[in-house]
Amino acid sequence: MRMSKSSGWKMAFVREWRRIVSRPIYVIMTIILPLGFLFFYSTFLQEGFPEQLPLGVIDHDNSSLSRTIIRQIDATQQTKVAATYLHFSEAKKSIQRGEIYAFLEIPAHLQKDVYSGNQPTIHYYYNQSYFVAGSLLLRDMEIMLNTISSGVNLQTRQLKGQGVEESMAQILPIVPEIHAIGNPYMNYSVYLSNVLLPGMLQLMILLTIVYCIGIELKKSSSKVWLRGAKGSLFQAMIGKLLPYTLIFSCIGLFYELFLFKFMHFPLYNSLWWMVLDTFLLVIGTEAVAIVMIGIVPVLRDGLCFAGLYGILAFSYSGLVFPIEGMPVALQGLSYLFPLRFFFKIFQNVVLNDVNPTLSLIYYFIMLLFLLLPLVVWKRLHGALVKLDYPKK
Amino acid sequence: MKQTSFFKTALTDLVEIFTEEIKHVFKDSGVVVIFFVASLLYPILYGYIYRNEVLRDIPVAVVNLSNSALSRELVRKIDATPDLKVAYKVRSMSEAKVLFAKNEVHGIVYIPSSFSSELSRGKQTHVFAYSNTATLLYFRGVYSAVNFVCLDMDENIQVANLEAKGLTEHQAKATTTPILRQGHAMYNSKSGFASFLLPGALILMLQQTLVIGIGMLAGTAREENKFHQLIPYQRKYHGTLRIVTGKALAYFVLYLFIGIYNLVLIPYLFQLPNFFTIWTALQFLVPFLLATVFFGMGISVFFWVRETSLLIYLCTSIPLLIMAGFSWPASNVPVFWKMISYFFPSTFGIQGFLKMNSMGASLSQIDFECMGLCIQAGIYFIFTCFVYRWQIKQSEKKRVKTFSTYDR
Repeated sequence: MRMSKSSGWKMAFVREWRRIVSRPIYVIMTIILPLGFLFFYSTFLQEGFPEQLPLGVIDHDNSSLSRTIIRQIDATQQTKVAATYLHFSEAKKSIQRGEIYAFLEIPAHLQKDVYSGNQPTIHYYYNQSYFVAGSLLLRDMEIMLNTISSGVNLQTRQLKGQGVEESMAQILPIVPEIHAIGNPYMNYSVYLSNVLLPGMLQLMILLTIVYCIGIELKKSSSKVWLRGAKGSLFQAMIGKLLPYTLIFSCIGLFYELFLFKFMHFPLYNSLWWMVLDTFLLVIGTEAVAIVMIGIVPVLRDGLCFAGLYGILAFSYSGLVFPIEGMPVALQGLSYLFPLRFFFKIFQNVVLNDVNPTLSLIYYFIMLLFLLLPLVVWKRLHGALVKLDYPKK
Repeated sequence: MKQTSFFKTALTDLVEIFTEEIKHVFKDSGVVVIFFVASLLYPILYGYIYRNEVLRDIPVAVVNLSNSALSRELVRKIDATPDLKVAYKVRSMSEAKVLFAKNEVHGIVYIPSSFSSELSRGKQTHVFAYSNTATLLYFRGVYSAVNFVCLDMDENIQVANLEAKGLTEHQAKATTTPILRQGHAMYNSKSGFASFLLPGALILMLQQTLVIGIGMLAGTAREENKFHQLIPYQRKYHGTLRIVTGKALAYFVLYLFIGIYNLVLIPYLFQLPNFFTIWTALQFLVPFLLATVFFGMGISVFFWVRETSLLIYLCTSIPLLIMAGFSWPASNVPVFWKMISYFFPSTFGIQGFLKMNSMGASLSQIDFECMGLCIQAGIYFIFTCFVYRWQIKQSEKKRVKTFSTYDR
């Protein structure tokens, strides 16, 4: 008697564990895929920064100067001269085939024109259909061609008897020094892994939670579930979600430890700020999942809904394209995604050298997501009891 | 005589299976949502989200400790670039950092107090700019604007100095910049983000909705058929070939329309790169859809419950997009993952579509991708026939077993 009094949520908890171990899909969604994605991102982005990007050269001059230029470009870490072409059309075809991402065209009489003071122009072309490769090569070619031009300038000045230091002060009086805060090596993996992995986690949480509640509706087993918890949906829900919360929190903790302790990603503040961030993402997303299945208490529709939302969250995290750059009408939607706030906290805590207390507001907003299920609570309860929604 | 009748029954069976499958699709509201609602609405949503192709006037904070005419000129010029806007002028780095943390600004420009004094003494001086790489586009904007302004001012100062020494303007410029450079963005020439991201996303949406839908249909068939087999036991479901081709044809035809919508209409509506005409789009869609349909059908035997396909495929979307080698350059995809990526039609599909539709390549220029898709279509077709055959056998076996139990 005493046992049954206290065990409302415990019954549901034990029942859920049994369900998890009885069907492979649960193990796939909670353990295999999350670890698989960690393996994927950590091995895929191992390089950290795309180097040795292939570019092509058309050398119409074929002089010692033009050959020096090509050699210098090839020698840099960022680029590699993959091919030389005779004509523009050949290089263009190669771009279209995706063999190179950029090329430069050295004009005829380059050397002659340079030394007679005719200011020849080197044209360079970069493919912006491959945005990342194109943009990186644009920057590299800008730097390289500027360096080469300055090199000739320096040479001329030295011939006139100027010292190197004096010449450089003349050539480059203002030196731009541009730094990436918190990620001085421009390691893409640092921010890609840090947001894509939690992004994958929230997607899997959404789908798993919607599935584990929706399947009760589909199999008409929700009454058994509720009965175990003495008819209290709150107790039943706590008991049901607790196993997932434990598993996903452990996965999230493992992610953070892996990134910051094993991969040694730079981190400005205590790791606990990120652990807290991850935990709030887990429970906030679970709350959103309850809302999803509450709005449409049909398993497959709930899953569609959750899936579309979960994928959209990647866009609304602001990782690849900032929210501020979106049409104003669509910016407001970003408040509906815990991942958005996860990312803001990540930026401040990990990348920016600022006091984490500045981010407390974001932690608070993430907590507010826990209130969302109240909106659908009654509706979901009704659906679970009456089972009056289509099951297929 | 017998030959003709065989072909005749095969053909009528095929047509029957085809129409039946089309009916299945429209009867199943879940599949309708995935096939039509998701694949028609999602491109529009994404098109709108990324409609502003480029970022303009990214707010930055300036810490100008020099406060000289030259430093003010630098600040003015930064403000005048299309990329940046000087939103705040603050007195210390710590103030700027707080603005940065609050997302009020996305970059900081710091001009040290020694700026103009060093310049006037003919020494080199430094200007510092900070942004974070968390949002690549902000970093890119800050980088290119600050770099451009500094180099521009360098050139002006140098030319002025040389002219002061008695060189003509032409001589001064030729000394300063012996080699001019000019960059040209090819294809996506406005460097738009949507023009880069959407083509890949569109192909992925086609593939994912198609395979999820096929998986759901297979899951439903299993849940509803008496023996929980993928294929019901009926006379017309005897010939593996006609079942596979009949069903495949149904998905293929439906997705030809959705494909044209995704690959021709959407790029046109959102002013993305669109070299495709309906005719070239069809040339590309045939191998891509065949590979995707058979891929989906082959894998679908592993889905016992109708929702499983949705769970698994949705989770793989983002990794598939990254693997396809258009965001992370294909030249830098690790070999192991490149091999894995060749199992998925989206890898060849995205590359092929980008090259044809965004860069105007002809079909012969994407022979590698075409070959990949054709090989996939062939292998997955054989695989599908094989697993369907196996399922039919299973279905027969169970039926025989059940009936013999009844007999006893």
